[in-house]
Amino acid sequence: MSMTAPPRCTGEIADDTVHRYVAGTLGEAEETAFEIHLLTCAACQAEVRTGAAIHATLRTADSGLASVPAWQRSRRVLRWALPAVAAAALLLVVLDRDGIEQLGGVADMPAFSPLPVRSSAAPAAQLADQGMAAYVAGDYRLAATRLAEAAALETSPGTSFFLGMSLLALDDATGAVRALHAALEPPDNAYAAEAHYYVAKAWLRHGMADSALHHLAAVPANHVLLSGRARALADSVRTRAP
Amino acid sequence: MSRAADMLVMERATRELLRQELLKLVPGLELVAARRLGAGADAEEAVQEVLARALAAFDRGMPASPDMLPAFVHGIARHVIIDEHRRRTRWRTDAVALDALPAPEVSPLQGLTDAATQAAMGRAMRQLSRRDRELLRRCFVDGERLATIARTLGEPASRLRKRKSRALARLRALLGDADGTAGHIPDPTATT
Repeated sequence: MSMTAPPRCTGEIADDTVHRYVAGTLGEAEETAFEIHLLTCAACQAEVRTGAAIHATLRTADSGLASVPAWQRSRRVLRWALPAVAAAALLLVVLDRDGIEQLGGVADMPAFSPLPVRSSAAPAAQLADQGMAAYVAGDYRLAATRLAEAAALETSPGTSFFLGMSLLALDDATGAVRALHAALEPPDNAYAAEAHYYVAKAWLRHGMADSALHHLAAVPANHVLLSGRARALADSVRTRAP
Repeated sequence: MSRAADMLVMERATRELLRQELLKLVPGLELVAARRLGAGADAEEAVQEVLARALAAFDRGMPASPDMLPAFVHGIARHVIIDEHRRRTRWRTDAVALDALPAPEVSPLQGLTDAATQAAMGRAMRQLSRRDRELLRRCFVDGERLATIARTLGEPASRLRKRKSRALARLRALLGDADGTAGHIPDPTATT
């Protein structure tokens, strides 16, 4: 791996784009734009390769370099172990998180009422139907599995939205961010407003107030259900954010 | 020369230019494929498929201009990657286990780094201060924005930007030159 200083990037790339690309926290649109740039930018290619090596090294459990305090590590284990224990309970219970992470809880999952129409025989539609049946039954793990399969076959804002919600229920905040970002496209789709609100929740679980506030501000002011909740949540974030 | 012949010559010249430009995109394409599919044979095959589809498109007169080539090729790559995900999904649809979702703790870019490089990087990392390691972890593992990190640490973002930049420069210096040898960092476990 080349570790000489890379040539300078001449594109208008934000300082944190490369490391967020490596870590997988860019939004879909940002990721696409950066990848198009990456195809022609040797400097960013070198940065991504270096970043991948840093990422791999710091993530390796036995590297002895993980400097996350023990209490945080145990919290992470708890976060990933909980779904197996009680995914539904997770929605109502606020974990022992401090500060703005507490605001990422979801008390009520968005309801889904299937329309009485004959379902399509297409594989993606069948998987989506199975996923939504599991979602309605509160089996968010099965819902996430089926909806992820459906989304891989055919993207739709609805599939992405409920996939994101299922992952949020399973406390997979990173997966939820990705799926809910996908539900924002196209911008005027029927799920976009709710996707903004809940992706903000997912970002809060990462402790990322800026990203959450950005999405809360994008909830339309005339949205009957969410505009008031979005404003109240944004106020709470501003109060608690360091 | 007739106008039609002129056009033909221009088209050929454009195609040739596109082919040359396409080859320059291969290193970036390899990274994109690895990022989306995980480094390995699938990513390599995906790159070959993208190149084949792009060359076929050139023969149909697309894209109209070399300026549009990166976005055009990225569009092809997206389709190829989606096709690969579909293939994987079909393969496991019936037998899918409940835990078949991608493990969140595994990065698809992990495979880009071989064990030797990772070991050298680990030794270089130990030369950094704990604060700098923590900063790099929050950047490259947690993917946080510098502004967010700055706020939680109570430091100006500009200072963090410099600190991150200096830490990366120090890693590069420690890891040595382009031949991949971690020349400046002795391996404490190595026997001579």
